[in-house]
Amino acid sequence: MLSRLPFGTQKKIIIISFVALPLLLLLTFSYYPALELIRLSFTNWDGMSPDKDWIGFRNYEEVFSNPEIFGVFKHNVAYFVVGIVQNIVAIYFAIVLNGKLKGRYFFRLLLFLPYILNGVAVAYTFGYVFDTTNGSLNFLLGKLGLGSETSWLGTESFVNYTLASIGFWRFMGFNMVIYLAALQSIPSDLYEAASIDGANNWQKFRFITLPNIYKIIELNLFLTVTGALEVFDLPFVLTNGGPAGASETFVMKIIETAFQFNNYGLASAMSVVLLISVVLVLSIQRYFLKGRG
Amino acid sequence: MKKAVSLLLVSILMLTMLAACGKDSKDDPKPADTGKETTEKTTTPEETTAGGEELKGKVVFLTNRTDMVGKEYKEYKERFEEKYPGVTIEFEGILDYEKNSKIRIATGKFPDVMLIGPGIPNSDFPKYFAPLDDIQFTGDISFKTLKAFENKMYGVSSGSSTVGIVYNKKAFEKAGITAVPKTLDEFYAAAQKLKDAGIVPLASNFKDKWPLDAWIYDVPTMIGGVSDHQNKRADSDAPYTLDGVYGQSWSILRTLYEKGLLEKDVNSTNWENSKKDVAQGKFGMYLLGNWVINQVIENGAASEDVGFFPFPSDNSGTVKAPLNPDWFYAVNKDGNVAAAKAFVKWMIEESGFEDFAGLIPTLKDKESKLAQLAEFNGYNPQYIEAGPPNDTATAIANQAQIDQGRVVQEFVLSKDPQSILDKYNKLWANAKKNVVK
Amino acid sequence: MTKEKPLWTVTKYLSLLIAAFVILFPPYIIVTNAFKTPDEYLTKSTMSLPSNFLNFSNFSEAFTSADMGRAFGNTVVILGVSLVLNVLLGSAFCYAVSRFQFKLQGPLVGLFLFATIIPQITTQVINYKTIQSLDLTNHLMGPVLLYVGADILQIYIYLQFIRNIPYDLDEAAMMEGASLFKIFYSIILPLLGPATATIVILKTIAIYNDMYTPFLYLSDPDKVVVSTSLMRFFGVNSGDWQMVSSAILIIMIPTAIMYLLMQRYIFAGVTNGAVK
Repeated sequence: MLSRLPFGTQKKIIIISFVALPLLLLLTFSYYPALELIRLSFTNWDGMSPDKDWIGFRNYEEVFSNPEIFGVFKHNVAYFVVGIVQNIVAIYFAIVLNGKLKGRYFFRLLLFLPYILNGVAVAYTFGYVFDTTNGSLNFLLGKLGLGSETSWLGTESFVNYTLASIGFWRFMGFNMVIYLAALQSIPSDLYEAASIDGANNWQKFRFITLPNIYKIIELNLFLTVTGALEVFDLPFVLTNGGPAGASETFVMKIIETAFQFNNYGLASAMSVVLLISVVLVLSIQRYFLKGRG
Repeated sequence: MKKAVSLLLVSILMLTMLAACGKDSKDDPKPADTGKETTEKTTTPEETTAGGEELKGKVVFLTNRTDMVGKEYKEYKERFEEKYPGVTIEFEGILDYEKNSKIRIATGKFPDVMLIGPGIPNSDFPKYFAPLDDIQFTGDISFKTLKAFENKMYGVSSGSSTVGIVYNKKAFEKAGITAVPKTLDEFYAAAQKLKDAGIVPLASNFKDKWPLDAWIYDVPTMIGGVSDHQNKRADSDAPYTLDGVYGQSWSILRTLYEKGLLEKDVNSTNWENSKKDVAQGKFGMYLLGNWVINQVIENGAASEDVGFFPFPSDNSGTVKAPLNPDWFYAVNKDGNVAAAKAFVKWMIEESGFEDFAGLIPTLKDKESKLAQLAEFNGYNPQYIEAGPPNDTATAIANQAQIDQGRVVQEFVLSKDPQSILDKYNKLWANAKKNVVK
Repeated sequence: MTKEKPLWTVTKYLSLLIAAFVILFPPYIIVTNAFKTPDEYLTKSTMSLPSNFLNFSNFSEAFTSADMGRAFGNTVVILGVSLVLNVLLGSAFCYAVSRFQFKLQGPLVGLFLFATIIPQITTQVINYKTIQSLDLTNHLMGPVLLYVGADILQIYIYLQFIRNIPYDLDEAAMMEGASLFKIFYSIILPLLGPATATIVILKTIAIYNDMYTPFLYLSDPDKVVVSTSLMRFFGVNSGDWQMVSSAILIIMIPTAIMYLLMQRYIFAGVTNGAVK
């Protein structure tokens, strides 16, 4: 029935009907709240009350006049660094498990297992792994004759790396599956043709695999950066921001401001600033990736 | 305008969605709000008389005790509905109560009975809650004035607790401690003996922050002999001083830390495991509320091995103990008010919740079933009741964004505690200028 | 095929063995807890092994006392509806965006990309209001509404696959007089199998383990889902970790099985189908 319509009309119908619903959902549950957030950032709303006052840029002045608020961003660097390594490892295992290998089904499940584990379990588990006196990690290191007194979650200089490594443990398999799927989309005749031309494995990787999954790598990096800047649940559960604030993150500060200090307006302003910061970091990243590629 | 547009968008969306998944929604025969509608009809006529047989409708209680859902609450429901056949009670449990309940309140529609903690300023109560002065309790209740505004009571405490040293008697025996310490110096000495016997003297659970509350609210109360120190901060530009109640209280914790009388690594403590350790005598003591006693017993200690004595905050030999409220029941002013009040009354008088939770009953003449409290009272502590908060002090603290748990952590860990106090006093003074004009 | 170098083979297996150890080392405690009797749990060290790995009593107790039967039922409904709609909407969207030239293509994908950056946590209050105004709080379709929306990951995966499906296939079908709609559901959608399998797995796990959304939107005990059923073991400042551990293992089983089954489709390879 539809096929009798001219191609142009069909195309229009398809585009509109296929795009409309996802777009509507996106606008309702992402952009409408974001606009509200911007509006609230100019008010002194406490988060509950039916009334609020318009206070102009006062919240923004406060965000920028308080050096403590921006100081916490340096804690996010660890998540960023570990995130990059995580992606490299994920690509490595995706390639290994995409090839011929004994027990690859088993390893594919195994490496993905941490992602299946419930978040509550992850936090609980690592509380025991990193415990200084009774922890399984220090126990293991002690048995190996290495230091067994390290305070993994209590040392200011690397507490963020400890936390970020949990993210690595949990999400590497997730990234790996995405890369595996991307590898599957590469037509296999490309590799066959390359083999006939005498290309070695590295050349195949460099000239076929990488360019073909470039978009997905870019996306994963994007998600890594966003995730690094917006991380909060791991430090929230495992260290509560400690020792003495060394692992506090920006989103933790936002939540505290909104729900503990009853200052939803200021928290909204902080969210907007976070949003802008993420966009800035991503633009810089894009600029450098473009510059090289 | 924006709202209207988005609402329109949402409605279109919804129609499409419901059409697409209509099959599945039959799982849920009643629309979510039927209960509320019947509710509104029944509120007005019986507003004044709480109790009585004519109560009707549904009451929803939003609780933080997710562990009691489907267990104790099931039994509460049966007993309550037997007494009030016209009322249906539903228990909804949520986690992260302060935050999630605020999100609920913000929408203007929230369950009939809520719990309120320190998060909502007293002056805001009339916006959300109904006054509860007309509930006829069988006796006098504690903390009538804490959640009150303009002489009306909006919250009833679900139970009270005091704070002191919860200790393992076997561990004390093993360390050769024959009598509980009555002065601060004796306390340090006892802790040292525990340490010498290979026992961690005091489980601070430093890392988790909330267990430090005792050092922020209760020890200063004991030291100063009055409970209004948090409010008094509003009158000062430098509320945190070394010789003030906070400095003195935190210095005790700092001393314990420096002498190695806390956990081996205070930045890596494990709350769940500490209960097992206290129960087994690997750890000697807690400075916490009496509610923790039942939890230690649940973790394997025999009740007779768990003791409780007042914390000696100085060397005077007279001991003091704070008396604190727990969460307060509050009633949604637009909900099923009459039946909700009956439920609050029932929770206080008949549910037995305070014994389950290990709290002191809110009814003043009701005896607590907690054996350890008798021991505690045997030391004749002078009880100091918590008073109502002062909205100005709260407003300044919120404006200054001072998280006192973190202040204590920094104070204890820092090489120069005075500099930490200076830092927060400065924040306080700046915020005070903005709040008090 | 060229023969693999032995060095590469050794590296491969060695790295996999290290990974296996690193992955299995932390959850050790969950497994041991789950099999311990209450007495063992309280008296023995947390790290010690249970005396009997056949002690399944915790599992049956966890299942009943957390009302997990009902929880699984509710979760299946939420998952089923969310996934079907999500896959249909997402793949259709990507088909429209990648197969046709029109002005707003780039900005449309950009809009989805940008949405990822918006800090989720602070939009909760507003979204709760929206869902409440639709009367969908304490209704299974409330969370569904939040889950069906396409996310950027899904869009990228679908776009990646659609790009690699030769356009000749579309053209051939058009010659035979098929409508664009028919091309989508009878040619493109089946060829997206591996992508769909990947997305279904990732989405299922995300929804299955999500605690924030059901806690906010489904507080009625009748609407308990798998992730919130865990909370029946948490009181104020206390958790029954033996039960929690057993419950966590029970919860993992269906997702692990699903992954094993779906795995075959993920790795079926897009080109093994119609192209050859």
